[in-house]
Amino acid sequence: MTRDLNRILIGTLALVLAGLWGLPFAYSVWTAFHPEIYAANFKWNAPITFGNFVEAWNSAPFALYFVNTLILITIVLVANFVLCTLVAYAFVRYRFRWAGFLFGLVMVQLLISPEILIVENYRTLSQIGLTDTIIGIALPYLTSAFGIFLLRQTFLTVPKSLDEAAQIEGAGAWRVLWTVYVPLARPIYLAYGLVMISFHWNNFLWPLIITNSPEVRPVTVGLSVFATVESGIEWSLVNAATLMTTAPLIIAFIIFQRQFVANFMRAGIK
Amino acid sequence: MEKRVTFKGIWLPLLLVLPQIVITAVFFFYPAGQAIWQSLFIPDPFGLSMQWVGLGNFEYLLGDRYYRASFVTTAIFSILVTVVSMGVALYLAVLADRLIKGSGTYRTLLIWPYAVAPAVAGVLWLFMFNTRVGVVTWYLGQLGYDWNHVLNEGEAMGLVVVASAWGRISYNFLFFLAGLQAIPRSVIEAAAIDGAHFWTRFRTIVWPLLSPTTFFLLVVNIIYAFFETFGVIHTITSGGPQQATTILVYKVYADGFVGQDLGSSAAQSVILLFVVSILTVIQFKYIERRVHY
Repeated sequence: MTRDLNRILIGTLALVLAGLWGLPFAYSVWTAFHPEIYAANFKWNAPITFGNFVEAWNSAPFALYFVNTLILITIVLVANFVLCTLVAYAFVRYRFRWAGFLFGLVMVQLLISPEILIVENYRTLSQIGLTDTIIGIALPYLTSAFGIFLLRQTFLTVPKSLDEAAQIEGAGAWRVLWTVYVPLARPIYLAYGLVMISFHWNNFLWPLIITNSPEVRPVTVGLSVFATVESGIEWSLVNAATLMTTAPLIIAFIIFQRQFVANFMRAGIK
Repeated sequence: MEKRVTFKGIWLPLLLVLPQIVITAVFFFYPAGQAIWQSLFIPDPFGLSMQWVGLGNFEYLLGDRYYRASFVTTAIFSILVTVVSMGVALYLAVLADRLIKGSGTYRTLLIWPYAVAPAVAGVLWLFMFNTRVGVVTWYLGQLGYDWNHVLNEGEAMGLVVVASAWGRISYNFLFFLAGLQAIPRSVIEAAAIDGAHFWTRFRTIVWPLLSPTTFFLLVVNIIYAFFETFGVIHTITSGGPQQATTILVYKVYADGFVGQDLGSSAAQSVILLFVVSILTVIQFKYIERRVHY
């Protein structure tokens, strides 16, 4: 009896805490869907409106921001998949001179947070004239030591017999990669791709400094510019904009929860 | 481990690795070297030439009241974010672990804030605590408390800490929950039969077995607090009031882009580079140990 009561208490407490947790977001949702006058007036029958979304959508180029983010993510994703795959394949399948040294060189990148080098990287990009372009945002992120590390670990688990069988069938290096290694690493590509998408959807500092026109701004920077306009923009609009720009990622995150979680664990604790 | 099929040849693998090396060289090694080099000079007032000052920039920085203050701010901020986000996460994970039914749903309820960008988390919290229209500010006012993080340094720090910890709790929660669920039930049940109460069991069995997870999260959260919280600080306080929330990475940004003080900003980058290298080495030593044994 007391055990049951205990369990119910714990369950309730857990739910209350989870609710408390969601409060900042819930409040934002409330304001976004109600007229401005109900912002701090929590009546259950307050009229629901979509007007804030329409107005927010029209008062800043959000469509453009979304397109920019999509382009940015596509570039980064394709480049990472291709480049990290090639590097991981080279290190796993070939024994060549300086391999150890080069692998060390690649892994050192893990030590260097790109945020530290913003000033220097900004200068490099302005010298080659790529500031304020989407490709400029993407350039430092085209490959990642983390991705290489993940793929290398996966490729190492590919059974040697499969590789040999493919060769006996007459497959060359590219075909072996494409027909043996890549298909076996599919879950890793999915998990890594998801992490890349959420990282670049949310990345802020570098896109903030490297862009200064709306034509190339990704959505998170766009939102922050919209939200910090001092000219008395209504908070209900800001909240509508916040919801629009974060909802896609939150939904994706909930749908692909398992892959995200698996990826965290892989990166941290094995 | 079985011996791998390896192939000889140097040109193909080098070709495969080349694009990676080029990007790493241009965006990591070159700027890192550039920062180190630049930190040894100061530009003359017209920006025409550079004057060698040796470690002068570092000496100047370490003597600079604002830089030292920023160091202290970063330390306080990182410790608070880490303690708050890990403490709450551990508490929630222990609760979730004791739920027999519905812990999957509970997990979903808790982890979505991870998908919210720090910059957006900043907007959400700023809205609640906004000095003019914030709903929490209004309720605090009713209680007779005058909240103003625009002027009050302590309140500003509190707000950026909470907003930074908010999304992070989700991540820590996942790791703590996984760590808790990896502890064999039989050990805990045996202790329970011996009459150990929940708190005793936690202190003597759970906490020690959880320590690898805790250590890992400690390093990861400190790195998070150092760098990824930029968005939160930028949207809520912009480093103010009176630089009370200017952490080191914000100062690099403020001095390098707003202040245009290149020598000093380069020296700051070098110091940060050094600090974060140590943290990452510790983290990897730890992961390596976990993987091998």
